[in-house]
Amino acid sequence: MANVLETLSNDLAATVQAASPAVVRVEGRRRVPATGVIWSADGLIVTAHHVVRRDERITIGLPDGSTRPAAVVGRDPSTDLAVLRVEGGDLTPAAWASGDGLGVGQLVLALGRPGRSVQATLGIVSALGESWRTPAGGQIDRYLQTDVVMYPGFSGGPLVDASGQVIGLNTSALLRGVSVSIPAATVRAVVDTLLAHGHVRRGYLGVGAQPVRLPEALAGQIGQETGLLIASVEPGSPAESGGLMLGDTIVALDGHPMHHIDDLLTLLSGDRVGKAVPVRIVRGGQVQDVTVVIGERVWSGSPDPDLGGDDANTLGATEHGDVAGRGSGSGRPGPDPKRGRGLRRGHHLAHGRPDRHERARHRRSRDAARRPAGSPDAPRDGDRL
Amino acid sequence: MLRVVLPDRQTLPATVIASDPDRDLAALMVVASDLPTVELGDSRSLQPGQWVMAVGHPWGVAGAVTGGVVIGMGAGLPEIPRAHHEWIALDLHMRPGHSGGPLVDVAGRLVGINTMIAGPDVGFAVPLHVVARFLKRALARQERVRSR
Repeated sequence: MANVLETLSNDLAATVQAASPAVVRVEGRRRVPATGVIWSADGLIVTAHHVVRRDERITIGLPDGSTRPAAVVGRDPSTDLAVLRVEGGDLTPAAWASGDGLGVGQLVLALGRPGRSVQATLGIVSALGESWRTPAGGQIDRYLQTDVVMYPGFSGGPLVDASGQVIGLNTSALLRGVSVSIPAATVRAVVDTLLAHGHVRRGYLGVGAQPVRLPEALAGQIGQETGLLIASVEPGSPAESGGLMLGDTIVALDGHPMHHIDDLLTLLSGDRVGKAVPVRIVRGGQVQDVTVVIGERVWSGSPDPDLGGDDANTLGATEHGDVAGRGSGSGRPGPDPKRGRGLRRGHHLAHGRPDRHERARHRRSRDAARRPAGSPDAPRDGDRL
Repeated sequence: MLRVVLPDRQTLPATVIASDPDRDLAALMVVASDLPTVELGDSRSLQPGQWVMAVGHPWGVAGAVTGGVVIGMGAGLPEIPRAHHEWIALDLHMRPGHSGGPLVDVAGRLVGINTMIAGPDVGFAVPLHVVARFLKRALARQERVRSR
């Protein structure tokens, strides 16, 4: 007798098995291995950037139980994606779906292979939305949120639909507290860029800025009410070289009006790296034009929320991030409050946090206080623009 | 005193005949006859993604059920205590009071005993074949004690 529930149960298990040949284990960090998805039969694996702590000596665990060495081909911290290449081919690539027919409420499965065998959690599509920008500046084609549980080691694993096709890549690092997946289209675009260039370029200006209201007379003259007040200038940055100064208010960059931080983030795209762009500023009540050569943003590492949690024996040691279980000692919601909450208007983006040495000192004392021995620390990006 | 309350609210005194703190299992014995028994399933054939239900007394609410899927099973699951033992990891919402209750498959057959949670969405159960082994040993010991 096969009732509806039995049929559903068998179908779910069959869907997991159908997708599992393309789901691999990625051993590129301490403690919990993570998951990756086979991109091509000749050895390309796509996974989450934050779970691969090193560029070489990565081990991939294949579904048949064998292991192969792998190395990083390229990474994009802004979308938390990384591409690896394993030695030898003959792999089973995942079947990717565009997710065009996806609707809120549809069943989805998150798959992972932190151990030998494939694992799964079940959920529904919670929200679908327009394209969005990650706190690290990455452009994601479509907002895709689910209620699947991100079990430890599931980062870098696939989100599959009821037919077993991969509609996105799961990562717990883009937004904390919710399960957000990177849609297939974005994964494809980033993989193509990484294969061509090894990394995804992001522009860098080197200022901390916040939006301010312009004086009425000036607003009328320029034709906009707000601009971006420069609160800090990084030494040696493109902004400094171009003559931007503390107290200047940026009103336009490369001809585009600057109202919010997001306007600046959008303009600092990879294709502007190395380009001399006009910057219109207000200095001392006067409108001036200066020229700045946009630099390239250098990533220093990124936090690993999967490993930032508590001792494994306590509640809350799950990958989706139990906020209450972390950081209570310092009153911080996670490894990085800006990354966690997203950039807001008014955030200082250059000196918003202590310098490298102070961070390291703080980290050591905090780790000693609340982490088990041997727990890796989590270097952070500077949110410099 | 240890007591067992049946679904018809009949209360029986119970004694612990065996326990395994490492696996968080205990076997109790009551004096009764004609007790209903649970049908047994196959915990070795569980598959990730398969639907299961946990029955228990969360926060004291009797016979409450929560459903979800098997995440994975076996020894060496990441990020759980005593990972060298076999566990069933579960994507369902167990609460305090589900511990010790049955984990059943879609046909209501027992496949495990609910044990612990790791956060609000992840639970763990001892697979039935491990429970069976434990019970077999406990009963054999009872037999030896009785025959002395």
